Amino acid sequence: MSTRTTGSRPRLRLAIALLAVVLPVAACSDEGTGVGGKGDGTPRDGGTLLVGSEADPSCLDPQQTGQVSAVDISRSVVDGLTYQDPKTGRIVPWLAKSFTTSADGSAFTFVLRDGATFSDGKPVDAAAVKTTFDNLVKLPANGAPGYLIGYQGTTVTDAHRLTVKFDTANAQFLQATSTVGLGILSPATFTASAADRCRGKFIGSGPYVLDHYTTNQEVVLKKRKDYAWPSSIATNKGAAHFDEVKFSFIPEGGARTGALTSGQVQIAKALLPTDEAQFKGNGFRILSAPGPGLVPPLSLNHKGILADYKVRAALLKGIDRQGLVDSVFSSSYKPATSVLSSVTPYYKDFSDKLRYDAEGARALLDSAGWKPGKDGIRVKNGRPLALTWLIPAPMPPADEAVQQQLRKIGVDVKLKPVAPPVYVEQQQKGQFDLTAVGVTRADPDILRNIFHSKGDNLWHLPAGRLDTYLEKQVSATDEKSRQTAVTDAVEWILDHADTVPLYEGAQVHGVADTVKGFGLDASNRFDLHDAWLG
Amino acid sequence: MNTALYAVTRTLRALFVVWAAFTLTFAALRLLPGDPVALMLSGRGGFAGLTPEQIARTRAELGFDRPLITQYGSALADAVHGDFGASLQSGQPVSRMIADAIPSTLQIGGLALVLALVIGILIGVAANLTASPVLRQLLRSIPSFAVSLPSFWVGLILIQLLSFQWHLFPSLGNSGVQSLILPACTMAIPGCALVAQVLGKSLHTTLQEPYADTVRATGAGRARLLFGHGLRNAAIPAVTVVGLLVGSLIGGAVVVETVFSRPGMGRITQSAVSAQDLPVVQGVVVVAALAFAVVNLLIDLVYPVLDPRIRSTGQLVTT
Amino acid sequence: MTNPTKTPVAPGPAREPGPAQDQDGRQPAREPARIRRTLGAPLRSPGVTLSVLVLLLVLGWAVVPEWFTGRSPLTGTPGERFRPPGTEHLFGTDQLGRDIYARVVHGASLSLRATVAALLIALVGGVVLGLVAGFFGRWADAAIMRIVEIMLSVPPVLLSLTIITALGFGTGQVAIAIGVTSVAAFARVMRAEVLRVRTAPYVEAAILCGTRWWRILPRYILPAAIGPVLALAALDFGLVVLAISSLSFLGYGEPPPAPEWGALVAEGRNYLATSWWLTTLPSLTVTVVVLAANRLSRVLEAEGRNR
Repeated sequence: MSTRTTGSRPRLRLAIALLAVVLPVAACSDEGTGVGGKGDGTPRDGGTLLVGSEADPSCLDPQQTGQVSAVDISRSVVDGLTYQDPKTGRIVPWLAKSFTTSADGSAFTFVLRDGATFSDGKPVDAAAVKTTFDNLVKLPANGAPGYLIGYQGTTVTDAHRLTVKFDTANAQFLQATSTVGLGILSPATFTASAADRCRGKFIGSGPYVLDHYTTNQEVVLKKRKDYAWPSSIATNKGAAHFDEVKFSFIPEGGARTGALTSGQVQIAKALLPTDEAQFKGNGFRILSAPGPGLVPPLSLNHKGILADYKVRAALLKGIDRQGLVDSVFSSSYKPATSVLSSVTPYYKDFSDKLRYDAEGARALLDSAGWKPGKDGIRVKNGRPLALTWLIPAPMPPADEAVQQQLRKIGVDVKLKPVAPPVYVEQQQKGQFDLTAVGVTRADPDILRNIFHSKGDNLWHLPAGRLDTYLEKQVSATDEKSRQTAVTDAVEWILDHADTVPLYEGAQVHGVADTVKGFGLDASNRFDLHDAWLG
Repeated sequence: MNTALYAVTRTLRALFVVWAAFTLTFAALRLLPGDPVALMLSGRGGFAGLTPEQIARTRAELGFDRPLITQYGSALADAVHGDFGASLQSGQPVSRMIADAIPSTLQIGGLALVLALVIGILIGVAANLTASPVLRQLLRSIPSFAVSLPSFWVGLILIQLLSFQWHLFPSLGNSGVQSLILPACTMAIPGCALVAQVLGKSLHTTLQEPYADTVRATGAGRARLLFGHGLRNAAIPAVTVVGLLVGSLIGGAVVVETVFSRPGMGRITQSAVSAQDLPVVQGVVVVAALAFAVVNLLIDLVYPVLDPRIRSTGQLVTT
Repeated sequence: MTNPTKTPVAPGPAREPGPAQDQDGRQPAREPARIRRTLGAPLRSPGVTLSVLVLLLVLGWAVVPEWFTGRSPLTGTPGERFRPPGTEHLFGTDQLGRDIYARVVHGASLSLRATVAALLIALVGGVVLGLVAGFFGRWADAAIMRIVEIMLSVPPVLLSLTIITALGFGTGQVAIAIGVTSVAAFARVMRAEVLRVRTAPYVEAAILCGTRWWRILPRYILPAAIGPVLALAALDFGLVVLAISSLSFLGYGEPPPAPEWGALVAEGRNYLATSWWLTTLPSLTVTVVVLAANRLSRVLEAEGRNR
């Protein structure tokens, strides 16, 4: 299973923060949320699917952005070498009809299927795969390019056979090939500038092609009539059912809900938790799936006040996760029980380390020298215990709830919603105490992307044993040693209060019953290939 | 002063005003704290970990390393050709974004203008036509009530009731006349109040004037007096009001398009301001000032036709 | 220094003898009668009385919010989320269980402070520019009036937004933006008044006597010319409240959880479909305040004219 993105490229990180906190991404739902359209009758071709999307991603290029709002669109345009079965998490053939891993885990050989073509008419061949990866590594090594860390190169054996080679064993690469970020693009794509690719000038081999992208307004996809190379487990073996899919950008949550109830869209993405109850059994359904990866946390800058372990640990104890879920979320969300969400591979329950303990938190702050002041906010040497929470605007409602909870233990959280470019700038410069970076990816390697001190290290983590654990888990060649390394890493992170997990995110969409066969893939992205209008 | 000269001076003044709007925004935005180049690189996606060399190179590419006056000169030259640079958020040319957005805003703006004029005139006339003092008082108080309504609230109520509850009109989308109605109504309300107020006052004054008594003495009814004399006298203030209306509609679009999630100039402005996307803000302001100047120019040129006194003096009698 | 005319110029409630008074030849109303009439005016109309009461109430909210609500505007009770308006919570509660009435009451000081600040900026800026332009004339007048013309030629909302883009977000920045935007209109009125006052005999006499401009401006011209500008400020009050709440609705005001009125509506917008009171009651508050301010300022203006 896999999803997107990790966070170091500004856009990615931004995306991440947004998706994490606004309404996190979903994933491999084992609740049978209608993947593949079984039991919905005979699919009917034609019609336009109208989707109310939560944001204009402003960049659609899968290599450059991992935002949910972009990936839900680009997934239908770009195919991957492999596909991940949402039910089992297994990697299955897609553009690659077979794949093998070398004994040392550092080389991957793919054999491509026949007949697949890009929408510009060029064949999907080994050279195209090589061009795609060779260009991807030129981008800063974060997000999708981060999946290729240690990339030595791709060897083209013949038109259909290629081998991707890494410096060391790479436990996450095969799963990564199922993500949109490693989707295969036509070589012609790379003649366009990075900015133009963002605007949609990339060419994939998917069931839809991008018709147009109008800023702040819409993205329209048109069906590719000659498409015939879906993944090996797709129900629909031919072209997509909709003639057209229109994603309209409707940033206001309330407006998306209203648009769905009044029939102006058939799918409203990222429903507000409070609005979910409206859509049950009245011609609508809720499609929700918990998100794998790093749960939405309070990410802590280990500088300034938060350099003190005791203050960090007090924050960890001072969050009432159940209370948070009860007060601002719906039943689609759960309290966090680890740094990783419960649907992430190699997840282990650490809820005993995340128990709400206001008294313990207060005691820790007392012992750290932060004494209660007049207005309830703690003070040390005349300085109030005030922490700045940097937020990319618009601010999600949950943030104010966290602010209220921490006020109870005497911490004054100052919410600072800023314009997205400013957010990126200040995050880079470390001008924050708190921010929220949660990342959806169905692989524990996400921990390395975020917490490795030799990476971007936005949190100013000291180099230490954590780095060793994180390096071990990616080069592990067997499941058991990988599990040990992941568990050690998570335990270390929680014991040192390096981050404050909040809740398990979920991607929650409202769907009209007229939309049949619609579901989310293993990484919670829209799977539009099997969907149709009844 | 002859008509041609009058037209020429007015046109020059309009041009001056647009140039000044450009200069003003250029100055305001260049004096900003923060580095537009760093913002641009980080905002466009995919360029993390900027090195000082990268920033310097891009700065040179964009010409931001030149003296401010040189930058101003070339920016002005570009702007004259309709080029306002590229958006910091999306990297798209600003002129392209604006061109994409204008039709949608013109649609609701145009409809709102028509609604404001028609309903405003109806209220203004009715308030002076009716014989019932209660009704007159009521009609007269409508405008002052209407200008006190926050348009974001009006929009939200219309969406909630007419669209979400009763499904009468779509609240979103940019297709079909139906989707124009709610935003146009929201946008029209302040303008409608303005028209009703100005027209009502002008008609009221006419009815008070001595010659009105003379006309009445000939046996003409209230209605005849109003339509025969009042409306003609109200033409000048009404035309002036159109100018004001256009200004208020341009501003109103920001709130209305945000509330209705409609693409358009207002929405572009809103998101550009939120993201401190300077080139877009500048482009929008200059284009809006241009539109505003053109409308006012047209109005200036219409005045002499309506009132011969202006033709002879070249001066506007009413202000 | 001698007073060149017999007209009293001392600062005080007495209005300068303008041409209007000379023309209709009326004596100034005697003080007690005028006071009685001014005070009596509200009582004559229930609408005006109501407006005064509304504004006094909101002023009370702004100055001593704790007299009007015992609840916190910032912390809520999670168990009491989305309560509709009732006896317990007058305006209902929001998604975090905060009392909306308490938020509106505490928000009054933010909103009113911004309004007053914006008007002060407009007033001071307008008066200074108007004085300079009107009194010194020539190139100063030409330059200032050109600037004024430019400012009036950009739609006001866009001008405010440009300033906000340059300054960043916050209630203070919004107030500055609105204030600066209004300077032009104030300057124009002030200039016209200064031109009128400047030709008054006592001013010309002062100039002839060699009185320096820094004495003439504050002593003779300002008191005589400021009346209509103050009236404009009163008329603008409601509009400024509206403009500030619009900008805070758009998200350019103080960051949450500050209960700025426009921001309350913006936050409540997400729950439009389920909880109408979150948007409706704060909006209604804005509307009532603006209505009251408009009503009162028009009455005051009419009174001023009649005097």
